[in-house]
Amino acid sequence: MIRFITRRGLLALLILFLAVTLLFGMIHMMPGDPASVILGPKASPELKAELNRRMGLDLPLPVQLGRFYGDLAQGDLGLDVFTNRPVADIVREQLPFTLALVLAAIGGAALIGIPLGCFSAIRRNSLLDRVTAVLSVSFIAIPTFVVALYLLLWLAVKWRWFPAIGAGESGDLGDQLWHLVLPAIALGLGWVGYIARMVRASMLEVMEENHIRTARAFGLPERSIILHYALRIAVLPTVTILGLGIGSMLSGALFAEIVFSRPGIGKLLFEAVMTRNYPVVMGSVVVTTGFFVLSTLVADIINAALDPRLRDSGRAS
Amino acid sequence: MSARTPISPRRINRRDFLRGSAAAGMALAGGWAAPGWTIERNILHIRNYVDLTALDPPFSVSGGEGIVSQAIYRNLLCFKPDGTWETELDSAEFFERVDDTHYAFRLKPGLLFTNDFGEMTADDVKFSLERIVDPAMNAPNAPDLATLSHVEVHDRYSGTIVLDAPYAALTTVGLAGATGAILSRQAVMSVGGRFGVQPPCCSGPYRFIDWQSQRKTILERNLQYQGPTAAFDQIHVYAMTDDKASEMAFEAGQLDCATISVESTGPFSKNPPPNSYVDIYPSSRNYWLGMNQTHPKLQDLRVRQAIQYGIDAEAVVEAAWFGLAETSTGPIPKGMTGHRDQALVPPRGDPDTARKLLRESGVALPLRLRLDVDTNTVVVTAVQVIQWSLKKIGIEVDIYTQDNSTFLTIGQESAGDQWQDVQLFFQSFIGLADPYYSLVWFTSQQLGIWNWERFSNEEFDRLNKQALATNNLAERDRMYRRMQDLMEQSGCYRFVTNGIMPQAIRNTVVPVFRPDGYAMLQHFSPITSPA
Amino acid sequence: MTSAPGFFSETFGKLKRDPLGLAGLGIVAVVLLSAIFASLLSPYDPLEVDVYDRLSSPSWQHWLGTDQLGRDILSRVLHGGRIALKVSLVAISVSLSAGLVLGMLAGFGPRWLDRILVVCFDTMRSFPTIMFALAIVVLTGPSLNTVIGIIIITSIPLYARIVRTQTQAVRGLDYILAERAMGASTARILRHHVLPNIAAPLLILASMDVPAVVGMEAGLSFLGLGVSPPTPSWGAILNDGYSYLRNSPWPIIAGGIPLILVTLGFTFLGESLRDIFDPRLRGKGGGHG
Repeated sequence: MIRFITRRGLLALLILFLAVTLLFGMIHMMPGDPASVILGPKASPELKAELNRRMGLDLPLPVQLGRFYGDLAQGDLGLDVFTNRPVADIVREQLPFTLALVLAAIGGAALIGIPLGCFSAIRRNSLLDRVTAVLSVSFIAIPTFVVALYLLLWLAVKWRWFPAIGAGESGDLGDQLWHLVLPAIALGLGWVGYIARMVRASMLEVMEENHIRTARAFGLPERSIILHYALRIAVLPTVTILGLGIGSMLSGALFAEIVFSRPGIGKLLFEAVMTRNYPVVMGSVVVTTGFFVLSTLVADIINAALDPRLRDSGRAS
Repeated sequence: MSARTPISPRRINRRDFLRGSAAAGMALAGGWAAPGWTIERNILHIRNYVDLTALDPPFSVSGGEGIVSQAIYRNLLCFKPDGTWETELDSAEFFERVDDTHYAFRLKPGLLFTNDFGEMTADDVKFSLERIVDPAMNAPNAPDLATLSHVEVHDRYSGTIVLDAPYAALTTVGLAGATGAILSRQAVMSVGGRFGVQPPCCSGPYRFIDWQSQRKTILERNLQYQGPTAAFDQIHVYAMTDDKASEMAFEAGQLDCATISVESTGPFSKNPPPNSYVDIYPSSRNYWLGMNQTHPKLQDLRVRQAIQYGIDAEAVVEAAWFGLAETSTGPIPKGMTGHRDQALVPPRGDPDTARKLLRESGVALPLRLRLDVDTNTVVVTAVQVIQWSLKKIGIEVDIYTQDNSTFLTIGQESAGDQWQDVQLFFQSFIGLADPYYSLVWFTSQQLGIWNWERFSNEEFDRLNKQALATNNLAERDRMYRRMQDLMEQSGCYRFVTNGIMPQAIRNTVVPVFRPDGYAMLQHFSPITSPA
Repeated sequence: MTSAPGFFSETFGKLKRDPLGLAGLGIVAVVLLSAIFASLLSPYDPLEVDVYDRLSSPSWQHWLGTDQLGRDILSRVLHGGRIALKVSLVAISVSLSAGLVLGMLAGFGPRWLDRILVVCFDTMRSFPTIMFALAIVVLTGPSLNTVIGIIIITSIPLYARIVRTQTQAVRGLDYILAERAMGASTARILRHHVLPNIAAPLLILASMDVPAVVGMEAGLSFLGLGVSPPTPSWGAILNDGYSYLRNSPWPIIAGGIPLILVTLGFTFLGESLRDIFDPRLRGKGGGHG
């Protein structure tokens, strides 16, 4: 098991390194540079060259890349090109907003999806089951930004039930939770369906299994069977999916952050790319990719812990 | 509306229509306990369209920073709060042009800097102005004080500004603008000779208290200010680049004043948020369609003129600006020296003339051209109207949208060879308090920098120099008109509009804006509640 | 294998019994037909500008109203279907084929090749998609082909992994080992044993991928990174609608409906087909996350 974890861990690092390096190359190939953005119309070629030189942007790419990794190894993510603030601080400020959004979305989805899936499995082929099936199937694939737009249009702008923008007053937890509702729904709606289906499928499998039949034969009430055995086992695959979901949601959160004008790392990354704020881009990329790789790793480890057949590297999917 | 500033004749007439509907809205909203109505502390919450990157005058490039600068610093001269570009004395009690290269000033005694840096002296003026043009500073704002040689100090309060050559925009762009702020030599040297966002000293009606990156800047009443007491206890300036976000914040009552987007102006006027109204202020921006005359497809003057006549600028303004702006006659806006009453090409263009010109040129139709534009909603809508009008005369336009950072580089030689492929593009520049700033981008010197049309006219360059070197208003007016004629005759430019600056304003605030629609925070005042 | 017509009628017969599947088929048919016959069905040229009739609500002249340039929204939505169709067809067929080849290579080829390919796939999956799309679009300029390219590159790993897993599963089976011992070539084994087994699941996956692909194009166009104006992609219609949200809700309403319909239609259909062909696959996820 240890070997497995080490191997997968190293692989994860390799992937992270490749992804970050590739992105570094891509963003530096894009036309435009922060000096132009900073100086605006006053950007004469001399001033731009001078500013670029001061930011170290005139050095050859491999050198810049080397510096970046060197700093990264010491925990230094560089300085924001426009404000000279440490990128680490900026990311630290923005990341919690996205995390809150993602957790709210998944948490809400789980809260609704797990019972829904559970009941669908128990009352198989009933009206509830069929309706859930229809709804969950359709919600899975509707693009987040479409849901976000509709929610914004009806619930925020037209009927004003919910705030339309921002994350709420800092320090006021209630206000911030209120501001989370619509974006979390937009992001989490697809997951309700997904989780419900996973739980249903897993439960159906589990409920046929031997030790459950034995429990029934022994006369245990159906209800406690469900709660104590079936649900617990059925939830496990869901948990690993959730782990993956948290990692991949970070880029999905971008749309919610844009439509609802919320602060967050998705929007930070997007705007940093637009303004060629290279240090912030790289810092955000490292963090988001790192999250994704980490959550995939954890999911794989949990899977492997549950199912030894998966430990042979290359089998995990 | 007795508490409001009297209307300046420069404002656009549509204001009256909007004010009528705003009054109706207000009647409905009357009686609401609106934010900012009665509070223990009088705080102004206002939107800025950009976050601060530098409040040090040599490096303060954006207009957004200028808004804050003018509230916290004093200059020798400042703009009058009457919607014109006229200047009045600020820290100077005497200012006179001795001759074209000498300007004498005398400071008011007893003007104090904050943070115990003492009294403002002529030496501080010398320090503040000379560092702008000091080569070692490499200041982007150096051109604002173009020909400054040095400042002679005669005694504690008086001195003379000496130029190497006449410079007509000295008072407006140089001294009254953000570049001309007077700082304490002692204060600036105490932080190493330059600073970023934290000024070491202030001298204006407000003082700088705090800057929360990407959130807001907080200013507080400066008790040491020698002059009428600042009207607010504090001003919170929110950095909001997104129009939509700021509109929603205004609606939610979080802002007292915000520039709103053109497309929201209509809905906001019809249904104003509680206790507020919308007012349209003029803008000094210049929107135009440029044509790269060195590109093979555009080398024939008749083709370029055909494009000029093929574009219906009124339709563009109707679609993209909802008819709220006026078509322009050139970069110099109404009310400024050099403004042309009429362009050579009529606002609606003339499709028949356009087709005739294309026929004469003998070019094969349909002619395919590429049009570069950035991703801003207003300009994307504008270019689609242009695309449609040009289609009708036989020109097929492919629109290339690019994010702003890329767009800024397409015509620049320093970015590679791509400038040679530029054909049509839709650009906009902001003007300043002097007409030269609207036209200087089209000189030969700017080839490969901002002169993407590759327009190069000897008379234009000559007039540009001359107009900046004389202080005779009538002469300058004539020269700038002629320059715009030359631009249009070259066929490289189709002027569309100067745009608008719509503002949403809470009824509890009396705002004051410059002629370019930028807020003069130092002159904003609250309407005290009747309660 | 039964004959093709027999196969189809048998499938259709099973499909008829599932109301959801039937509904899905119906919706897909409507979407496809309206896309193919968009020019016939559109009352106006989707590009025709009428500056003085902007942002109007639905009326007899314009059933879904007009957008910010006075263009008929219904016509634009119908033509948007064409773009969605093109994007899905090209993107899915190319990434499917490429994924097939790469997956089989990984599953059946030498270990070191497998390792390299898996690392490549995982790296692609770790890329924040939007970041990747942004960089590509800025480098090459926005266009429909760029969007299709981006979708292809990000989709290949997903198909490849499924193919790889299936291929590896087959690789270890007894009768396969026997055939190899008897000298059967890799190509023959792939063609006769692997391909038929994965054909159906892959095609179903592809059909269920359509909503995701269309959604991706819409998302990119919504961010301003997709098609160039005045192309009426659904994402572009939504982008315009978002900018002019306060002036008229109709572009957003009209732009979102086809995306929802495509999602419902292809997903219902795909689910039903999956139930018909392999009930064992029920409940297992796949495709884009």
